[in-house]
Amino acid sequence: MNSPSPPNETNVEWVLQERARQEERSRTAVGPGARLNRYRLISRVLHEPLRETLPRDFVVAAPPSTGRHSTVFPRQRAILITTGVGYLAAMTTAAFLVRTDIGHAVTTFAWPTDLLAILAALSLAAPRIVALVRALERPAGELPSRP
Amino acid sequence: MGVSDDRELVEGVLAGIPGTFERLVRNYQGLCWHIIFRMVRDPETSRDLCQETFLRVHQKLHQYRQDRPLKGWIGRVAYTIALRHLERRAVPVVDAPSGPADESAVELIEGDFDLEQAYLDQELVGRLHAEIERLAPVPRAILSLYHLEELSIDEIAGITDLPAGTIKSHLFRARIQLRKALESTWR
Repeated sequence: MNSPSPPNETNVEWVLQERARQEERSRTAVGPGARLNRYRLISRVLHEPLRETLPRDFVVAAPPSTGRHSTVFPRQRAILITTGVGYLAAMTTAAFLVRTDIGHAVTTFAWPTDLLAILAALSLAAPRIVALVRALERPAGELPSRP
Repeated sequence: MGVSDDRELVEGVLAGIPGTFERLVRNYQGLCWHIIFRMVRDPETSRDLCQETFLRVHQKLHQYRQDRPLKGWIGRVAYTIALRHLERRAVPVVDAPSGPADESAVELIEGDFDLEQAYLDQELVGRLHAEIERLAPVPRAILSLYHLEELSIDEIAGITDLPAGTIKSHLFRARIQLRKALESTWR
């Protein structure tokens, strides 16, 4: 609907505004009438492209936050956060054990061997953890044997 | 963009066909920018809100009813996001109604006005741009949709969810304000 009815008694002014817009769109030759031409200038300036534009790479930049990635990234983030929290908890526990009597009592107990047995059972799931524990148990200077 | 092009595009995006969403963004990023930047004005924030708009479009595309133009639907998402952004920051989005004052603005200062010469006058055109910036966000966006995007009043009403009469009123008052600014600069 591009021929709207004028609001209230301001009919004449509205019609003039609309005429100026139409004349600018159809590039009608400029005629007399200061008021009409002022509205034509307003229409022309409003029709100009904006001075600021979106960056050229906007299309490239947009998809990472929209497409499949948005469902993939949260899962990866969750794994990283869980791993990080687990690592911090392990380090805190280790520091606690080293610095206290409880730690001494626990470390003199035969738990590392038991733990190693459990870890060995899980070796298919976590071979790197098992390798790490074995390396820690090995006397200083002894080289690891090849699997 | 015709309705059938829109349908093809939407079906392509929903089916996950590579490149279709990029095409959709490319087709409508101008409209999105015109709405958001005109309302928000800060380029960095506007870019973020455009990203948010297309993210929302991607998430909600299955809700789009294909008997309506996609342009209006995306325009509405962009307009709503910009409006909420401004409301969260307590920015007034419309001018306070001035009432009868507008009627006096209709009284004319005639005299000569050389359109082409005026258009070349950088200071005058700069003044006009500054006056456009002084308008409230909603009338500023409506002016852009009407004059730059060349949308009809009904299409703008569909985007802004405002009655057609309100759209006309915003256009009318804003253009009078701009004309008054011109008259005070160039007599």
